[in-house]
Amino acid sequence: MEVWKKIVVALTFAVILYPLLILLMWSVSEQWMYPNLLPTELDFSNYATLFNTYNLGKVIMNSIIISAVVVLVSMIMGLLPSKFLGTRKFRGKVAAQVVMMMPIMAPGIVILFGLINVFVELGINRTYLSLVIAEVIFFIPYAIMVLVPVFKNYDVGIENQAATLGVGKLSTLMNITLPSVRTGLVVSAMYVFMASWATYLAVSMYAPVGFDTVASLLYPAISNGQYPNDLLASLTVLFFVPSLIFLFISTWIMGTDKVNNRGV
Amino acid sequence: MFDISFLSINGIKKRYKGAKTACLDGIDLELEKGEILVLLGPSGCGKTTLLKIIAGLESQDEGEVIVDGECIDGIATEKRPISMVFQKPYLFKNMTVFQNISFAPRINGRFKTKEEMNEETQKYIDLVKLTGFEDRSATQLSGGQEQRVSLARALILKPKLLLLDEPLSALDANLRVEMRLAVRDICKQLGQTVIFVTHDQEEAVAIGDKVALISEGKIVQCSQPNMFFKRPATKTVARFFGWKNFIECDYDGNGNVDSILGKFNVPDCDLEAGRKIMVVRPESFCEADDGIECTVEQISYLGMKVDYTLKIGDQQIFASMDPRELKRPGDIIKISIKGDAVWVVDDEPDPEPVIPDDVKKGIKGLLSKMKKKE
Amino acid sequence: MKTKISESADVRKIAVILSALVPSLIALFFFFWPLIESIKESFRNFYGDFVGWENYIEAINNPAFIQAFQYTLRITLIVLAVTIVSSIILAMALRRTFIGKKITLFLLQVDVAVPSIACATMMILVLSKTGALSRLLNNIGLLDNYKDFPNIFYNSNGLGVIISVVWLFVPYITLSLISVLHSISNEEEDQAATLGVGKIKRFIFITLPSLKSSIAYTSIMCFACTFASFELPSLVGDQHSMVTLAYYYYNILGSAPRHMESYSISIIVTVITLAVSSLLMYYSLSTDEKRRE
Repeated sequence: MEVWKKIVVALTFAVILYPLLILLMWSVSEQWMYPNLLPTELDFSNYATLFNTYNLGKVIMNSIIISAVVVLVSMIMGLLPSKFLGTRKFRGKVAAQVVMMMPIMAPGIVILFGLINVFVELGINRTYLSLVIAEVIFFIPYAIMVLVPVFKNYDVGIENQAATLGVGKLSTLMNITLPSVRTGLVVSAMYVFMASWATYLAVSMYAPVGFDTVASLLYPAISNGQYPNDLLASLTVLFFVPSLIFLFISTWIMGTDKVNNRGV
Repeated sequence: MFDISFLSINGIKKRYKGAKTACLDGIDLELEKGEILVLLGPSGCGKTTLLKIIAGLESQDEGEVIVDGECIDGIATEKRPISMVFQKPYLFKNMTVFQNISFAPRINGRFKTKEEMNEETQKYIDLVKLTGFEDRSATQLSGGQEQRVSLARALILKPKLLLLDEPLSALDANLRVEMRLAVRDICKQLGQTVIFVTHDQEEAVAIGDKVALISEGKIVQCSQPNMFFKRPATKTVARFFGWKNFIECDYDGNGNVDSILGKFNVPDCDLEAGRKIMVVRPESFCEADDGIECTVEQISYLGMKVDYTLKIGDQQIFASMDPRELKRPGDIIKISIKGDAVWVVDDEPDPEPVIPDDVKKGIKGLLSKMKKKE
Repeated sequence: MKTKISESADVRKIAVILSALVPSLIALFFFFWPLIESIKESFRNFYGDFVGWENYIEAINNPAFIQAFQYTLRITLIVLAVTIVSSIILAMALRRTFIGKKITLFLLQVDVAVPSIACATMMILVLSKTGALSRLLNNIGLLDNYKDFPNIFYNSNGLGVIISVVWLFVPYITLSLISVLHSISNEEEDQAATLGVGKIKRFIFITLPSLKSSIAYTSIMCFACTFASFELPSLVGDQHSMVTLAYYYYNILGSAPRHMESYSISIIVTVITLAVSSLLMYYSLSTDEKRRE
């Protein structure tokens, strides 16, 4: 491999791993004064402190439940439009896709502030429903973004085949269509999950009062600077460990898919 | 007392939006239970469209389809008493061979017990000679194996009507021959009523009890396979089935033909008197001492036979014969026609050669193609 | 003559189309309604009277707004330039097989999994005056006093935002480009090589065009995250002297006299972001469609 490429790869490793490493080290340090390169004292109890002080267990559960619900709703709502856009040809198809993707392209803060009136009028402000809606609007486009290219490789003829064998539409969807786009479903679930996990503003504005997710705790923590570095680091690590877990799981699923040649 | 056919297709017409001519222009067909009907015709003639109309994947503008006394128009595809095998096997990639075959009946509650499902499915796996492949993933099969699974999957449903849309066209030549015999055997064994679509003439006559030749949206001839080689209905049919000789003749309306090759008797012909075309198969000629004199123009030696292009007067004759001696170009040969191997058809204008659009557009077409590639 | 059959088939077709689109329509409803409400409000004053473009004029004439706009625009353009160039270089470096390729690609995916807020934390821990980088330089001997370490965050450069967004997005865009590079064949490039076309020219005229669509598509996310984002710039950008547009909007939202101005600002930001992103996306998708034909 050429020299410049080697340098690039080395740089990539350094640039990506270094901050992660520093974060990890801070999260388990008790005391780390300038200008030491390594913490003078290690302390794994940071995590315990967090849990005890901020009822982190419940907060994490909240995050998981909300993200799971949002993933489910986004995928269900995004599936048929994606299939429609991916498998059919019609004039204005590109324009339709652009319109459906607009929520990701607009500044979230504007829409979120605009939603107050909508929710108040519908009488659902500050409920779980308003929270889910506030997140789902922005995440259905993620699902569409991933699924449309997958459906472009999907041959609708197989549904005709199933129909001629007497298989009903719902059975076809569950047993034939969904399995063949499995990879796309996993990837889009991953993106939506990670995006939902990181959402702060929607939660702080529209979740029921007192309901916190890890993101809604973390953001003020960083911006107010009230947490010491080590606790902050621990919270951050906790914050994105689930994303990593999800990443591992989906990589594993896709890996086995490739081996079995499924959904390809 | 009137005979009700198992399958009746009456007056089917269909025209696609913006098309100059109708895709299907009045199709009438009858089929008995257990019969295999082959729809034959060149690509684009409408045979696949007809099949899709029967299956419910497309709808006709006019006409009706009646299966076993019941009109199936307007019924959703999945509720029709049909099953279909496509040119692409469309196997369910996330399932094994066994699961592919048992899926549809299982979903529809056909099997009362697990044992029944296993037994039935195994029966059909054995029928298509895939014993041992039950647990093979659908992604690990050859083309021929895939089509056999597709066939078993359709047969296990015991449909009133089985539709096959050029299922062998994607297979290589040897496999096609092998599979066509298998398909016919299996269907006959099961007493399955079948409509089989193909553009391959050889395949059509090998598989079908009845063959319907479709051209330009109409059925030109529907009869037993051998009739296409004895009594072609039109010049189009004759041309499609390899009747190479089209000789002008006079027909008297009573079974007598007069042509440059002599006088012949065609007792079954019911055309009116007039100037007709006499058609003769190349294989019908033989060398005879008392035959007509022709000059040899070209020879193709093919081992077991010789293809001659002969000339008599202004007329070219294509003959395929067993030579007593091999002639050379310029030689004189005397030929006669075996038995009653001639037939008479009406004259038709020759079809225009089809020119693809971008060739027609010439330079413009080439340029726009180049632009697209960027 | 259309029979009942073809008519009912048409009805069924329309029903299928509608059912496929309904979920999306519901979601879009909750997107456009607030937007339309904001647009309506932006043309009114505090008492609900229609005042036309007054709010907009007031907003645009405010020097703070202009400053915020310029700041945001500058950062966004720098980010886009740096990200796209880096991603292309990285993708070209990683496209061929080499030992450790799988790990490298996995590492990129890990980066993609990092949420932006977490990135903010990491950048602060690494790049602040007493951060890890400063310590490293100090230990090597390149830095005497931590006060000499450049001010990355509380600085009108916006360097904090730039570095964070670049760190977040380069792997994402790179992965996307690599998958495009994998799926296109090398034949055209090899062919050009045999005709004597040099490496750089080959890259510019053959490889790069095939990446256009993917670059456009992924840059949209990058653009939206920088130009229209609120969270990240508020954490790692300067919060006092320079703010990004979104944060500016957030700030004045609460203040009563400028409340109405906030509507117009929000519409301005939205319209710009939507317009640019929509154009990019339209371009990207159309290119893909043309290639498919």
